[in-house]
Amino acid sequence: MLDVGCCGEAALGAALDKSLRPVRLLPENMAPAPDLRQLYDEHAPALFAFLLNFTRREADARDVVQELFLKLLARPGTLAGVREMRAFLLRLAYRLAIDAHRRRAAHEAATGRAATQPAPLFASIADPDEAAFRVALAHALAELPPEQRAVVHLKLWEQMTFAAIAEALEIPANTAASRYRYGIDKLQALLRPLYEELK
Amino acid sequence: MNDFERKLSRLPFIQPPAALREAIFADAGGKVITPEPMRWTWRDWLWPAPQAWAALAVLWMIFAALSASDRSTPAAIPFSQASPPPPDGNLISYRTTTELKDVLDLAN
Repeated sequence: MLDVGCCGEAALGAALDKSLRPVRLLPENMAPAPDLRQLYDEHAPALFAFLLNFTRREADARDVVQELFLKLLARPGTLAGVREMRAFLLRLAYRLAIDAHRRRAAHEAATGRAATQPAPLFASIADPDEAAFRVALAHALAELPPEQRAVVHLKLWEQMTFAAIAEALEIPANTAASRYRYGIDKLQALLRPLYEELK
Repeated sequence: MNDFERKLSRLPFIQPPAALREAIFADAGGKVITPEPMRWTWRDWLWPAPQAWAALAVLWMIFAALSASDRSTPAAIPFSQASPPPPDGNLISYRTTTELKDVLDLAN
């Protein structure tokens, strides 16, 4: 079961209630709101990757991306004035993913259904060694607690600063930095043999 | 970022299914979906620190309540009016004693 121990249930509920409020507004110098199709083309792959890595379920990642963009379609003013669009969307996606996890956990508890096999993460490649490394990395990432995985993803694949990660995940920057360090150390320990072979 | 981290950061993730985009924008048809610019509201100004504003509001209400309770108690009374006048009996007895002294012409 996905553990989101970093945040209490009540806090998560409150966070979700305000999930579509703009986080950065510049009243006197508002950025124009972009076309949502263009926004999808620019950011959906990154959002999907983050959600896939965080939830480890393709259906959940797909559902959250869809829910996020449908909410944006329904509330057209939400994006006006947002300065860091990618960070803003990742923040919303994270909140919605936690909400989806809560719903799914409740459903699974009610129906008694077990979790399915984790989804593949990385694009396929012809080189067998490289392909093996990607599969091993996907498994190693699954070993990390979700909150560490979220930080590692945003740092490695989004090149976000710890301050930006802290804001997106609503945690202190020091916590983000320590989660990243623990996560990377664990990945390095799990993948060292394969990594040394590939070097 | 060391070599290991750099290697990981270059790995491409799988793409979202193409059908997802169509599913999201199916109802919108061919029109461009540009959100309307949001009008500035007081909420935008208050939003960055809602707890601070809430605390200020609570303080204001406390001060207002204290002020109202002060108004309900009697206003300060001048000292001269604060003590009640002596009962009539005391004055009569004082006057009677003085008159008696005068009548009787008693020294002290």
